[in-house]
Amino acid sequence: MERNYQQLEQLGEGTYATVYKGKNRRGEIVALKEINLDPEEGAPSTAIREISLMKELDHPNVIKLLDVVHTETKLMLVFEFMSQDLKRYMDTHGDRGALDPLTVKWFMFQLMSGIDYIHDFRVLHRDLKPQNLLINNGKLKIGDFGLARATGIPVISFSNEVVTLWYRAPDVLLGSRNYTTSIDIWSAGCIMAEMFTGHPLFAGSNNEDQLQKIFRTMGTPSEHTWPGVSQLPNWQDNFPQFMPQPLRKYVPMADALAFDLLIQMLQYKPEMRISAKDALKHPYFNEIVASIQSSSRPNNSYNTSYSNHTLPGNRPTNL
Amino acid sequence: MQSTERPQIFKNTEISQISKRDAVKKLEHFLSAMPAGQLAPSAIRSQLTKIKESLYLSILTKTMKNLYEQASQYKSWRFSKEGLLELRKNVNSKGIEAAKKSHAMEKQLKDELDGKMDVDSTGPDGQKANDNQNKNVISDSQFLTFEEEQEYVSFYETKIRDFAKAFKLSQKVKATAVMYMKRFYLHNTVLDYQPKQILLVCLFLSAKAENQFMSIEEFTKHQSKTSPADIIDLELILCQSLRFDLAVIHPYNAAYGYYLDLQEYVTDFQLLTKAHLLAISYIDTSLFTDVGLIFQPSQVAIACWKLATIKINNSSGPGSTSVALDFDGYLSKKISAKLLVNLYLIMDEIQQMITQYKAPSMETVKNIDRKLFYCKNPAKNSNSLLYKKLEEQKELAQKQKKKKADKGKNDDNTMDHGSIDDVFS
Repeated sequence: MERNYQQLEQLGEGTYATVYKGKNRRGEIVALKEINLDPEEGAPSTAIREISLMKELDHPNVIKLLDVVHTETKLMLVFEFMSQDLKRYMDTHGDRGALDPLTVKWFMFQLMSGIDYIHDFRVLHRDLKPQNLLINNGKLKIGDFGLARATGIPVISFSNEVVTLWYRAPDVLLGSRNYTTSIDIWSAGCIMAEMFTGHPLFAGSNNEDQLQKIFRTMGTPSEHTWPGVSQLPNWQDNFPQFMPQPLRKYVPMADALAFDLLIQMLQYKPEMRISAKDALKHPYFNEIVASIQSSSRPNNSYNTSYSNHTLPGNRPTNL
Repeated sequence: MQSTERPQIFKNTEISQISKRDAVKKLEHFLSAMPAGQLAPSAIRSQLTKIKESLYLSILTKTMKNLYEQASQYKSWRFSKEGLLELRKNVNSKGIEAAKKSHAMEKQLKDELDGKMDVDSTGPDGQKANDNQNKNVISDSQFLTFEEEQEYVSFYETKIRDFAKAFKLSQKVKATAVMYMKRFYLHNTVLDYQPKQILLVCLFLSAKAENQFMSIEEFTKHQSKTSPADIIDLELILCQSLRFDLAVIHPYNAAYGYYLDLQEYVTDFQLLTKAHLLAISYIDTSLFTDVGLIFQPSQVAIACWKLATIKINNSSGPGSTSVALDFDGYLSKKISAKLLVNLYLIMDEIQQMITQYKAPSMETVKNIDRKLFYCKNPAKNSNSLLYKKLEEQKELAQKQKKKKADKGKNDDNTMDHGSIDDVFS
């Protein structure tokens, strides 16, 4: 009974739980995710699946589950503490939300490393968004795996809050049930564009509006541009027709390499979207890989080498 | 093997001996030394790219090989045969120790109760109670041995299969529940927790973990002796005993992988499919043995394939000299001779454990059941006096705690129950 956690202020509401700042016995700050037990069904299956998954994952770019404790009425997941999420980071560090290109590159590299790792585990995150990416001292970690491994993707969260659709892949919005790892890649692409510009790329207010926002920019897909699209459950033959706009003009601050990667992530056809593994090999990241290689000693895996790595060159001083 | 026009900088063996980084340097040096205008041989170029790529990936991400080694199954739930024996003996002897104490206390409570009713014999009764405390209420031979405990649990593991079938739960839910049960009884004794209840809790939890949720009402509908509350009460105890390691890897996926891979080597598709189904049934049996606690899922899968092919080759008719399904030939093509020697040792051991498996007989289980009725720990039995007393004490403590908490409200809010590590400390 000596091991305990002190609960401090509330940090936010997750998909199905409340998150608090906390302190462990040694005075270290942790994040406490509190889940109420259902008197009828016991531990919620979402919590069981999140624990089952997070106990297995161990990667520098994935949030770490440190402990699980329980009382008779509550389950508490103890995570490592991260000072803020990407959304808040952009609000406080960016130029009207926009981050400088080198920071974008570092965050994207870390995001894609984390995604690659979970995809190797055959796990989809399904809900990647700036609020779920946690930042601490220039390190980025993927958090909130509440939806990973769930059966469907809900529109309404546990706390009756509407789940944001801004980062949702068009195949999911169109009702596809056979989605793959490529849905996380679409989300990562949206996040990348948002880091460059400071505002969401496609900010729809509901499922239909979200689709229309995507269509307005990328053109309304057709059987010609996306074979099979008209077979998807939510497809309507009378969707308004839009011509594709050059995506370039929406993210003018991205250089040619960055833009090339972005385009490969934001593909209509799921199978055309680049995999996380291939994205990491994209020349856009050469600069980072070179600096990792020069700083890593033999037998030293990259996690230790780059997690201690500060951003090179003209990094923002407040990072 | 090598064509003559290709310059030989490396022999294949050399590459594995020197580090990849050096290999890249050597190759790049070779390429830069090529006379201008002459194209570097494409073999060299592709070799360079290949090495660079693997070097790159080993830096960027942990390789697939390491993935299994990161699994909680590999890190926390892998034992030697001797280690398992030790654990089970320990659980058994500690369980008996605790049960003895509880039995003595139960006896005392009973005597007190009898004493209250019998007013005349207050004096000598107190004396008696003390005497009883010094004597063991139940003798050592009346308790279960660790072998009996294991046999008893083993019987109820097979019940999981029957329940899973009745509830139409998937192969994975079933296999995970069996593993939960095995792991649970590595840290708990049958004297404290009844396998016939624990098996339902294991199934209920594994259905949640494997994404085949089932409502508790549906689950207990046909259970006259187990209420939803029983299962919910035990769910967290189970989770804690499992250290919240809920993800379990089974041999089925690996076995399917061999099925796909073998299609390149075996032309008779029907025969191969038959062998795969046989391999699956051997895996089904393996769940009830200890192989899942000792060996890796891929090792179990390969041993089950071996067993399946032996059976198929034996049944291909006496006197037939040719082998219908040459699994050994396949393995020798895939795996180096040196590694294969070790693998065969492992496979032999697994094959033996699977073929030697025998479900405990009904007779044995009935005998253990009879013994258990008397020796189980009264502290965990809701019908006992001791249990009721402990519950009262718990309630009282909670009330006091609540009072205290109400007093110092907003002071601090601490959670101090059951950390995962407490179970093992």
